[in-house]
Amino acid sequence: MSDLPFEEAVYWTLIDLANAFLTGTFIGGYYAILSMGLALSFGVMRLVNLAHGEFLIVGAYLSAVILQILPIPPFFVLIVVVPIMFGIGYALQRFLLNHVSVQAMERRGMSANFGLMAPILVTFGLGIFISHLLFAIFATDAMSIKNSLAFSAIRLSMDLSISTLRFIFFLVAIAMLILLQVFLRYSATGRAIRAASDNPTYAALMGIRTDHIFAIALGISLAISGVAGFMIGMTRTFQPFDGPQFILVAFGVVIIGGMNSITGSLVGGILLGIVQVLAGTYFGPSAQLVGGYMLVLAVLAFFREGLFSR
Amino acid sequence: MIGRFLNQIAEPVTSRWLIAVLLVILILFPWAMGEGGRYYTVLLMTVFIFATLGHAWNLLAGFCGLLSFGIQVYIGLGGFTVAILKYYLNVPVWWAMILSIIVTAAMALLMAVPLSSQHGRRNTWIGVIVAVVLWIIYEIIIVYNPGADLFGGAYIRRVIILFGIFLGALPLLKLQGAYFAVATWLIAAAVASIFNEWRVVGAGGGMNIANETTVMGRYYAGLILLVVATGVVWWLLNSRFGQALTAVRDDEEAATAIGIDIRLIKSMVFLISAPMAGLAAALYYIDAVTITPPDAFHIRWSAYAVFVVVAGGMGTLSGPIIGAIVFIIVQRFLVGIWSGGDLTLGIAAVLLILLLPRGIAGFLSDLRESASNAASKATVPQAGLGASTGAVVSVSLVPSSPALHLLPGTAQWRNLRVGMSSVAQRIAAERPDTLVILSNHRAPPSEGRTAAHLSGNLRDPDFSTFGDIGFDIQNDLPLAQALEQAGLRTHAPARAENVVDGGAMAALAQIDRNHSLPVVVVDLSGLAPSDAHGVGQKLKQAAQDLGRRIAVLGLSGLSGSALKPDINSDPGHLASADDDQANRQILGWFQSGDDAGLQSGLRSLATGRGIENHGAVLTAISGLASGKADVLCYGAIFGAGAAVVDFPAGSTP
Repeated sequence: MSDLPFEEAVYWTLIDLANAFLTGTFIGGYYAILSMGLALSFGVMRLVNLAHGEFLIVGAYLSAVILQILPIPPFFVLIVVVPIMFGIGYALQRFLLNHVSVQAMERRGMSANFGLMAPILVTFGLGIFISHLLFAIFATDAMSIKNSLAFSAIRLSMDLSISTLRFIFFLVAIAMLILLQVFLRYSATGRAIRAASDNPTYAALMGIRTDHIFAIALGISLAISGVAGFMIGMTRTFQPFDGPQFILVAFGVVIIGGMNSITGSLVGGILLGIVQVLAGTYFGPSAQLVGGYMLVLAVLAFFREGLFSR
Repeated sequence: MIGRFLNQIAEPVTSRWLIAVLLVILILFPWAMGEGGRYYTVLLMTVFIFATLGHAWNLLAGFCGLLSFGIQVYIGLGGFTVAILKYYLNVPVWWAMILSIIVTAAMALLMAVPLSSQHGRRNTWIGVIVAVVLWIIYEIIIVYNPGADLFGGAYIRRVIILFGIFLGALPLLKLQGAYFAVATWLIAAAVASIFNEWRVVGAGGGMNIANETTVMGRYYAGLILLVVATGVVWWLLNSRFGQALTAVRDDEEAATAIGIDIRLIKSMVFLISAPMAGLAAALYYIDAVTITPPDAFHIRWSAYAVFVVVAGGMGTLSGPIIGAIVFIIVQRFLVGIWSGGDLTLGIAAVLLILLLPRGIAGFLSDLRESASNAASKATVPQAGLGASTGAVVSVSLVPSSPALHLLPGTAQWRNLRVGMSSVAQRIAAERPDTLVILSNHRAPPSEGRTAAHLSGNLRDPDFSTFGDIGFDIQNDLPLAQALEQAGLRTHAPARAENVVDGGAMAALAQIDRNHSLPVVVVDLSGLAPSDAHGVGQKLKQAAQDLGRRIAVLGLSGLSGSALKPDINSDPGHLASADDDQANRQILGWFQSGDDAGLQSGLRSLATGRGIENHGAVLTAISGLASGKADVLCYGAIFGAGAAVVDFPAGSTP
């Protein structure tokens, strides 16, 4: 270190900071994928999906099980997992959630407030059901997706590196974000989704089959959750009852970004990632969680509907 | 029958006696059960605890519209306060329980400030600065006198104080809907992670509340708690404050408009509900003996509260009590049949919302209502099957303004909507093959001008930003063609070149919600009233030729619907008394079945009153009708006259 233009202490401070921002940013990509589905289902259907965490775990188990049966490279499993998750989401919205949605409750003469609550209670029940179902099949043995990338890293300098997986996920997050935006903006179905989210009543008046459109939206939401679940499996072990710990992260991200903004979830994810890593670096690992929560509360104190809410 | 029985119970005198008897039974219950019935005594106590918890949550959600997911923060604080007071200061648990009110109320206060709406942000900053200065002074004191550190550790002290400042600065009660819900949840999660690290409360391992209370003592504590909580809620609802509360629940904007300080009311309720939950939790953990942060701050508690309230009936006094009984039955009794109390609860929650969305209390009150209605309701004559051959089977007039449909919450239009739905019922009873809409298509009725009032609901009146989205409404092409051959201009939806105006779409949504009927829109714009009079004959002819049973829906406003610039921001206002007279004159002709009078009188009446554009539809409808019409309702939409009229259809020509 003799050739540095400043003292070693300063160097390490800078490295710590750079590491925090780098790691935080790339964790942000991971967080964004975790929460994008939640933002979509809230944005389109006003659905506060309490079973979101459980769906992530379902995605993780699905990926792990398929990979155990089929000896294919890990990333190819998504070709199977994403359609399956889409199907689950579509069926769920079509046959269950459409009957208890905000709109359905209003049609049955309930207040809008209650309309928000009914799906919450249903998805809460659903979450419990799913985690118990997974428990019945897999017991509590921790599972993970074995892969060669989990421990590899990209070295930027002697003291700076980023996890290869995190880097890939960051790229995946950005790709998914762009894809989703293009889909919502330019495809007929995407337009219908936006119309239905703006005003379901008027969209229905225009002949849009909102039931079908909402089902597609939840399908996409769950497909994204499938990718997120795969990601969880790649980076760590998971158990049937792990859902709730992800949902709070996802909600935090979505709140920072704005409940209905999909782009917001990337920015929210990055912000949350950086703050968590910074808090962890300077105040110890236990400060990570609290630091993240405080960030969310601080954002709410100034932006009551998140940073990017429409 | 059950409904009639319930009605008898609900008589004030009867219900007072019933409550008294029930109380006596509950007071004697543990004595009667004795040692052998301990299990049921404990079970009842659990019902009391969850009913109290339900009351606390119901106050927020059912009466204030504050959907909280963070009630577990009071659960944890209530329980841990008792544990700390008992363990460190050896305070008797009952006293500790009462003292927990202070802690939970203080927490609620911290979350509910800042109260001021005018200088909210400035006061917040002042508060934050004062708090930070006090904090620095406190830190300095600790440097010189480590004994002053009440928190047992520098890190945890700083986190707690910092978090407190964050909470104080966050205007929690200003958050809306899901944001409020998730924010309260995050707060509870943050407190949980602080408690997980805090050595004073066992650093995640939890604490013991070793106590000398008896089952009997805990049972009565629970009973007193529930009675007091129910009493408080009852008092809240029946006091002047309660009237304001109900106003807020029913319509927040309207409540603000009549001068109710919503924020103050919400803060008050927030402050009352917190100790309620805390006390319930304190009793729960005195009974459970051990308390750990992961258990006490678990989101499960909120879900339990939601279940209790929704199962019972949200926004009702008896709801939480009924719900708590259901909850305990589901969670404790069904466990034996099926493993996992939470699993049963999850499934029960889904079924409940699907089957009884208004809860058991709501279901019971429906039963009561239908019982009292059955006694008074006269028998409704069944609509005759009519001719099996084609005919015009129903004729009605509805307002053309889409505002009615787009602003569904507007109280002033309630009668109009009721009228619309009764027309919808009558049309459905006739089982028509096709719905023909007579519309003044080219001048979309008052859309442009009312758009200003609809901006919140209607971003884009013609939906052009969404491109060319086809719609799923069926059409009756043969009928449309027949009508066109007869010289009428039609718009059959789903023919690419045709669009249906917003008024027709909105009316259609009210009259035929599922789009089950094929639709043909007959465009009468630009037609002279004298020509329009023949439209009826053409419709009848086409219906007969094709063997269609058609329902005709005239889409028309009355005075001021299109031409008058006067659109008052009050949705139920009518532009002038002169307009009112003109409208009543028109409706009078309808009522007396005076088709000739309408034809001759309408022209002079219409000029200058904005009725000109509707002349064609009004005349056509009048010409189609046979006999005296039934004016179901008459009102105003943004200054323009509007009415729903049901005409007798001359089914046999």
